[in-house]
Amino acid sequence: MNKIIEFFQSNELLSNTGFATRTVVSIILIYFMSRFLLKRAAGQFTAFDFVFLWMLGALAVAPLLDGKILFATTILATATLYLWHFLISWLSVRSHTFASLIRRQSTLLVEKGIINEKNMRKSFFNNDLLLAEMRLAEAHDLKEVNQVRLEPSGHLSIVKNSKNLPPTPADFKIPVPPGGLPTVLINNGKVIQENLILLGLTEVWLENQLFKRGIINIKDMYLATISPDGEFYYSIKNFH
Amino acid sequence: MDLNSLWSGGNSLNPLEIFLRVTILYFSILFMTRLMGPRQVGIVSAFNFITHAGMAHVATSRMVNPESSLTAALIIIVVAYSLSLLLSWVDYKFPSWVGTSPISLVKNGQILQSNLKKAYVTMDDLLAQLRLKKAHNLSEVASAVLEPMGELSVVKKPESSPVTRSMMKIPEIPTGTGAILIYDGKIERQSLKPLGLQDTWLEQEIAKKGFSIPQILLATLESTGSIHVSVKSHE
Repeated sequence: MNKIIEFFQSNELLSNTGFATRTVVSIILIYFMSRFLLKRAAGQFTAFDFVFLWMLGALAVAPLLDGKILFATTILATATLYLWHFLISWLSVRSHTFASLIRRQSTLLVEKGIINEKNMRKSFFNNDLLLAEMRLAEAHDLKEVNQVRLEPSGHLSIVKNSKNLPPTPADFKIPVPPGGLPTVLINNGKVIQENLILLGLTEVWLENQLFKRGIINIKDMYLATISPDGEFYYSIKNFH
Repeated sequence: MDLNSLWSGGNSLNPLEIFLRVTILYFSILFMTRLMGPRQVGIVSAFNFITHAGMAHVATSRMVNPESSLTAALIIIVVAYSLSLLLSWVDYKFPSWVGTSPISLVKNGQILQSNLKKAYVTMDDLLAQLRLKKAHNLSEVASAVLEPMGELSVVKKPESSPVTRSMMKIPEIPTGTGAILIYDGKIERQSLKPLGLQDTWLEQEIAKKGFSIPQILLATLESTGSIHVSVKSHE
């Protein structure tokens, strides 16, 4: 036991077992760091989000690089980083003015089909870069484009002219089924009760539905979902 | 607390000193990345990427290593980001200096083998990238170009692309992103003015929908000319 404690004390020369023990702690630490990360960090990356993630990683492995660095230091430093990061995110959601100070706004690079040179210059975008980024965003011809916006994450969002867009059911006045996401009713042989209640359905109804399709045992069902238009999808477990 | 060991380093750091160091470094990095803006894209994206990674490392080592100097870290961060900004500017001004241009990998359904070799892209990688871009048949591809930032852009042949409104002779409608009229219960005057709209007009339009302005989380003027509102949830 004493030996294990030794691994966590400041040490000039750490044995291989010491490094292995510290590695285990580091990885567990990284696991918990990622659990408490804000969802945004994984979606809309800004340059700062990248740096923040790198800082977390570097902090977590600092005790592995230098035997003298303690986990207590790492944990305290991480806690401070999280404190500021959450505080800034908390304030950003509540105050529009604060958010615009911290986060960059989007910039219009093309407006009504005309390139905005001033905004291009401010964003360090030359014509080669604009055309390359537009090709990546599936708009390969400027003549088809109404608006190009540089988002804070560095990606372009593009609005095409209506004549270059595919028509939608509204153009033909075609009646459409209700849209939205399907709801999971059975997952891996288990009925998801709260989803049934949410839709005002009962287990008896579900059993009847399955029975109509020749399924007697719910446990045979791998996945069953219901679409907003009331259509049923199911996939039966494969028995090998 | 010893100011000297906080700024120039010492034998050990007490918790308060660690807290202050992390705070100072966090905000200096936040400030510098804010200054850099969304410039992580483009030809120098790998360069900016590595700069950010390097600076994150500089910052963290000064957070946890007692002997390191905080002053030096701040100098490093400022110099490195300024230089990175300067190089981005050079890249913007003189794109030919960097000399990376897009490489065509597929043209009219035909794979350009010599370009594939030049770009170090295997056939499997090309096919995987095409699949991710929803081009499952090579015959549908009019052009596939490897962009300088290392991503593939795919243009499908017109006959394999969705039908457009002009092909169907459907009259044009205005497109664009919506202008924000109300943000979190407050009228956005700076976007109303250029549109020539009045507060009273907006109040009336919202009242027609059965709401008052403080109840609205977000109201946008859509490209079609109608107003779309999201109402605040009652907690």
